[in-house]
Amino acid sequence: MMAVGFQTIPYTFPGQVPNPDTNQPGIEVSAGDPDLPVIVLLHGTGGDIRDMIDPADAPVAGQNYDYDGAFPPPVTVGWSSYPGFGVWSCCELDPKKPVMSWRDVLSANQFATAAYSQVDPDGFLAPPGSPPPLGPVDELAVVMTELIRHFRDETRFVLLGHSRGGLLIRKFLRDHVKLAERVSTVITLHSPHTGSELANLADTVTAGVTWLQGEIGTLATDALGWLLALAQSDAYLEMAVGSPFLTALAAGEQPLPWINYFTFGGVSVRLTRIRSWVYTPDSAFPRWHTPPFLHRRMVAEVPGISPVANTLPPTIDELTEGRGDLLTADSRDRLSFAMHQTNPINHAEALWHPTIQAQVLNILGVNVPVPPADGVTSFWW
Amino acid sequence: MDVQELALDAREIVRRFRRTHTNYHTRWPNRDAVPEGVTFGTPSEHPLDEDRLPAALRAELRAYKKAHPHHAITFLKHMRTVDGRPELVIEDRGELPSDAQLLILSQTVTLAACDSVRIVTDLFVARTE
Repeated sequence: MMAVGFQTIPYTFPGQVPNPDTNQPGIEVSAGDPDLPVIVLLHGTGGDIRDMIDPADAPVAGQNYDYDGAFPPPVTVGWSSYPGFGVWSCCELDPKKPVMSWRDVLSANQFATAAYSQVDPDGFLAPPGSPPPLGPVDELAVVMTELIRHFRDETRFVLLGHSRGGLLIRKFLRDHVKLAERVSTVITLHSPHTGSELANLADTVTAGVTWLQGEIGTLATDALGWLLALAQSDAYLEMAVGSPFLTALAAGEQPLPWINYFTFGGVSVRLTRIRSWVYTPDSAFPRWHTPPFLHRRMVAEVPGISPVANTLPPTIDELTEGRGDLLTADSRDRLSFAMHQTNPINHAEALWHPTIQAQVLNILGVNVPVPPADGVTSFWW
Repeated sequence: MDVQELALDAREIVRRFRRTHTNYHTRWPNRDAVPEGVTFGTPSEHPLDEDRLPAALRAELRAYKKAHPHHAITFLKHMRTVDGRPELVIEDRGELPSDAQLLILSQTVTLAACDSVRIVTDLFVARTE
C-alpha cells in the first residue's frame, strides 16, 4: 500500500460502528489537486474500506493470486533407495501478488479520494421493515453531506463503486437528487445492475464448492469460501435477477443529465491455480549412485480442478468464462445510458487491475496508455 | 485426485544420468575402501552380457534392438542395490559413452510384508554403436 497523506472526517450515522479490523471511524480523505474532482470510493458486498485502499489485505477482495506467474523451478529433495513418482504434496494455491489500490492509483495522479466502510456491508441496500431502518443509502447521503461541507463549493465528485457499490450509487442518486447536483461522473465496476444469478443458484454454487472441498479440502474454502458466503448473503438475495429491489430501482429510472455514466464488466472467472508438488519424471530413473534414485520435485497444475473457478459447472453466466467475472455477468453489469467497457478480468481484479485503472484514469482526463488485460503482472506507473 | 502426467524428456534424463555419474574406482580406489558385503569388480572379471539381464529387461532390450537393428550393444556396467545400498558394482575405469551412444536399462522390484521391506534395483549401462 502506498503511503498517502489523509485525514479522517468523522460522521455520525446510527448503527455505524468502527470496523474492528481497520478501526476506521469515519471517512478517510486523501489529499489531492483542489482543481480536480474528488473520487468517492464505494466498496461492494461483504467488503470494507480496505477493498479500496488496501485490497490485498481485504477479507473478500484479497484474491490477488498470481495465476499467470511462472511456477518455481524444480527442487532437489535428495537421494533415495526407491523411485520417486506421483504426488510429492498436495495442494496449494498460487501465491498472492502485490497490487495497487484505487486510492493509491488515484492519489498518484493527484486526485483527492474519500473512502469509508459501509454500514451492514452484506445486508440490504433497502432494509425491509416499516419504517425501514437506516441503511447504506442513507449513510452515503450523510457522507456526501460531510464531504460537500469539507471541500470547496466548486468541487465536483466522482462516485466510483465496485460491485454492489454501483447499485448503492444508483439508489443514492434516485433518493437524493439535491446532493447529486455535485456529482459529475458515475463509474461502476462490475456492478450487477440487472442482477446476479448467483443468489438464485446459491445451492448450485454450494454443491460446486462442496465437491471441490472433497478434492482439496480446506483450500477450496480458502479459494471460494468468500464466494459461497456472498451468494448466501442478504445483499445477494436483494440483487437476485428479477428481485423487487432491482425492479423498483429500474422503474422509470432516468440518467441525471449533468452526470456522465460509465460501467465496466468482466468476463474472466479465473482466480487461482491449484498447484501440487510432484516428483519430476527423472526421479523414477536410477542413477549410477547409491542410493540410486535422486528425487526432485516440481510444481504441476492439478487437472480437473485447476484453475479455479473455471472448473465449476458453468451453469450461469456469472460462472462462465467469457461471460462472467465469478459474481456478476457482463451482460448484467450494463446500464442503457452508460458507456460500457468489458475486460477479461474477474470480480476482485476490478479493485486493482492496471487495465481498468488506466481506463478509469482516461475517463477522468488523465491520458495514460492502457495496458492489455492479459498477462499483466506489474504496474507501469 | 489426479495429477497431470508429466512429459518425459529422453535427452534430459540421459543428461541427468551423466551429471551425477561417478566411477566407483574413484570412490573406492583400493579394495580396503570397498564396503563390506559389496562385490566390486570389472567386466573382465565378471563378463557382462545379455544373459545377465533379468527377463523383463531382456524383453525390453529385444524391443529396442528391433527398433534399432543396426546397433551393436556392449554392456559396460552393472550395479545392484538392495534398499539403496550397493550389493554389486561391476565397471571398469572408462568414461561413459557419449549421450548418443548411451543405453541405460534398469529394473526395480520390491517386496513388502508386515515385518520386512526390500527394494532391489538392477542398473545396466551399455554402449550402442
